[in-house]
Amino acid sequence: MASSKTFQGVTREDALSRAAAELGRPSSELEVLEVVSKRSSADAAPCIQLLIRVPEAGPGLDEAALLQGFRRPSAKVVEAASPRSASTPESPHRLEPAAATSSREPSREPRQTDGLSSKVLARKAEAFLADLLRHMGIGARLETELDDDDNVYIEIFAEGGVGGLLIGRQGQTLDAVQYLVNRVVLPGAAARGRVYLDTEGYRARYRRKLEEMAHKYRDEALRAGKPVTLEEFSPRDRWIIHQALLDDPRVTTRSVGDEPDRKLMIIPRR
Amino acid sequence: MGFTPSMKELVEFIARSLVDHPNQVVVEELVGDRGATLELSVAPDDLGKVIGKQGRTARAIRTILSAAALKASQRVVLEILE
Repeated sequence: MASSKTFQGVTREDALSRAAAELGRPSSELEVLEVVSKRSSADAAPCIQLLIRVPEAGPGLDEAALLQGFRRPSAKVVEAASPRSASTPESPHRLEPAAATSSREPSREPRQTDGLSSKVLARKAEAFLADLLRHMGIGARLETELDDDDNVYIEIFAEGGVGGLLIGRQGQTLDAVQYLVNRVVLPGAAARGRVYLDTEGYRARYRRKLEEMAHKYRDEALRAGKPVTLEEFSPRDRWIIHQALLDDPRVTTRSVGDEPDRKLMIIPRR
Repeated sequence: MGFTPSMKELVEFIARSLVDHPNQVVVEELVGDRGATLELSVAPDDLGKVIGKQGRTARAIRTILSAAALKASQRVVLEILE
């Protein structure tokens, strides 16, 4: 089974060298499927997340390459790695699904503490959100969960059947409220966690919709025997589409171009 | 919820939550035949905080205001004064 893993860093290079070290691969061999900036506010330190396809374990893992991956200065890593989003002749066999790697769960990165615990973040977010909803004329009960990465998930149970209103067209109201909550409660300094909002299972529903669409376009690519290109998806959306097709041995996915015109290609394997 | 929320108070609340000088947040409500216009003004150095990078915060405020106005069956437009 193919597998992917998320790596975080202050910069793309930083995240990539962490990935190289943890996967025991030179960064030039890693395929970056998607890049998401987690910068929480304009003055916060940036945090970059990379979705990386975990390469096949086994013969390719020679010590020289491993050391190269560790030693390579991070500034050069990006030069070596960014052209990799385009295909190179020797790459395909590296990208084959590998059962051995998917079961191996690499150890968690050391926690960067930033003074704002997720519990404090959660309390601040709940208080602000409750006030905001009250000012919007929406009565609601909130349920909050925390994860190991200091993220805060708040589920909104709105009274009086106004969930649809709170979600808005294509989720834009829920996204606006979520954005505002993060703007207000996250400190200027980099916080590791973020606040995520959901109501009436909208996020999961949206994810399922994206996955169904990914499968539809995959079928189209397979039927036509040539790549299908998807445009106008956000980095987060493309992230979900990559993951939805990662386990499918019949196709491979790749993002090409620069934001905001970055496109996702679904390519049939031969 | 039985009461009708005030759109003016909603904008004041959001703006005060975002800025460094909440006491300088002023919202004027101008009522016309086709609905109300809310004029938001903040301290000059807080302007960026209510507008945001590429206007993202201003857009979020307008989206939230539209949803609240829709629920209250009102027509409201937000203007941010520079």
